[in-house]
Amino acid sequence: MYHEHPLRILRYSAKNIWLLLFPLLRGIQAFHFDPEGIYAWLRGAWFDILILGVIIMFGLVRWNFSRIDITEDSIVHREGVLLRVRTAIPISSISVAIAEYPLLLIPFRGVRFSCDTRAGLLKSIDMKLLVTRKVAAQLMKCVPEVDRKKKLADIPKADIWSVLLFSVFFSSGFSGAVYIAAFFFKGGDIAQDIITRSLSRLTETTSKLTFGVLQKIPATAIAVGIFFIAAWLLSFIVNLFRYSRFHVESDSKSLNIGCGVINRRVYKITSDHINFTDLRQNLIMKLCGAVTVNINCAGYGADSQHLPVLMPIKRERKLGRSLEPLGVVGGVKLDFRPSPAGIGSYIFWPVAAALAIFPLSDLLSEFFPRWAELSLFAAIMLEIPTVWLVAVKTTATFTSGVSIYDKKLVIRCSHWTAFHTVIADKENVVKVQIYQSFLQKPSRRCTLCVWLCGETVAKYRVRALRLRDAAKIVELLEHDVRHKNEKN
Amino acid sequence: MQQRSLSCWSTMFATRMKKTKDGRAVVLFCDDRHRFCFYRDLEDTRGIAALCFAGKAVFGALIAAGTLGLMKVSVSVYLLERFLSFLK
Repeated sequence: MYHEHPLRILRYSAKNIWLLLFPLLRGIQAFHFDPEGIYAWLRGAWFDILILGVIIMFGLVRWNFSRIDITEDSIVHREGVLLRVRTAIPISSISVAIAEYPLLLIPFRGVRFSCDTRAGLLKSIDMKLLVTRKVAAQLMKCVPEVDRKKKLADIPKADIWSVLLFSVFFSSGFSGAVYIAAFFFKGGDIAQDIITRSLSRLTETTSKLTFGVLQKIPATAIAVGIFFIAAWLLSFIVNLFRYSRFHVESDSKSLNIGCGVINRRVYKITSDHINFTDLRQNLIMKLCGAVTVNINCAGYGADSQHLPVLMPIKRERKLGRSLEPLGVVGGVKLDFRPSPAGIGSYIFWPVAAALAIFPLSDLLSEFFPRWAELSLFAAIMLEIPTVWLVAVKTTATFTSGVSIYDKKLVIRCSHWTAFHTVIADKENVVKVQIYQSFLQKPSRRCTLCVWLCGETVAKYRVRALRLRDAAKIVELLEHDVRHKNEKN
Repeated sequence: MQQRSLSCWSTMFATRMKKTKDGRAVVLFCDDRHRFCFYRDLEDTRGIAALCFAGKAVFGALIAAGTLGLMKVSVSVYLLERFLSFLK
């Protein structure tokens, strides 16, 4: 039987224990080192100290009642004082076990352990614990280790360039803005002060710039631009720290992934529990023939901060057959492709949006002349991603498609600005749907939607397929179902 | 349209509750194909029983105190009435 890390007492004590710590710190600051001072301080702060003591005592009791048992076939965690909730996870059900070593916890030898199965509510992690290094090692030992003798030797290494490019491609101004917002809301008054001061300095600088150099661009537009560049840079740095020292090793049964500098994370993944693999690209990566290999497995990339990456960035040609045991197949020729005449179903909405932006901006300027400059700037800023989307969707028309061979289904498609090559076992297909719009009906084209199983169902869509091709795909998948039923 | 019955739409729908022989409720978490993955239950019901007993005791005491108080008030009112009628 093990306990959680003693630091957990603070968490169990109360969510807002720090609220009581501030008056206490103020008291300590006001305290003078003389007997009368001690007496005066105690007389003033005795109630705070008493409340703090009670809260910590409560946390200590809860921590003492939180117990971890590692049995032969399962990990059991009990918590609660009066209501004893027991969670028992069989080791064979564990899809992913994660050990996280945050920099802040290193002096205390603390490790965040979590494990997830294919069940549970939405994408939540099934068991989260804060434990000592010794206990974390014991827990991680439960999950099958990669056999050194049977290790797959040809797995491509993720070098520094791969991680750097990955951080460049997968950083965004929006996620940076989210970090700033999180810092703003969670950081309390001090963080709010810092951000507000920085923003007012940014506004001052941009107004000077507007006055002196860039007179035609409104100050708000420059401020928004600088803010998003700074946010992107922040997101890039965070990603760089998160995916540096990326390391993968695997045998046929399990997979070990390690990444991160400040918050080092070690994942142990059961290969059988990988639902499907997804080779992701954006337009630049597509033109360069580079891919990011992602895997869909319960618990891996379950939190919004981490992507389920198996290989940060690699040339598609260089993947070869090394990742085949993990379900990644490179250079698959597509059996069923969209009809080029159906390009309209790919680019109709992006083109319509691209054409509508400037007239809408003009209309807005007519009604609100004071906002004319800003509306023009916003229109230009919106036009860039829309034209980009038109380029992506045009490329998607000629690169999308479906292929079925042996027991695998390969879908090449696009979702917003990303290209996906999904490789899944046929038995992981949950649902297939064919639908036709009234424009597709006369040309006998259709859209094929495929849903793949997992903790949450994933949907992939290929547009402008010929109806007979789509029917053939369904038939091929259905044939497999019949075959399976006959076997059962 | 073709749909398999093997897999449910979300693992959320595969979660179900069962009662054990000793009357405890166990939540069984299953994957999208309804295969058991892990369970969560209330391990020890003695705590709940103690809590219920304490609750009942407090409730009983409150009722008793209330009844006694009411009786005391009504007796006092009766005596006061008698005393006032005596004075008249």
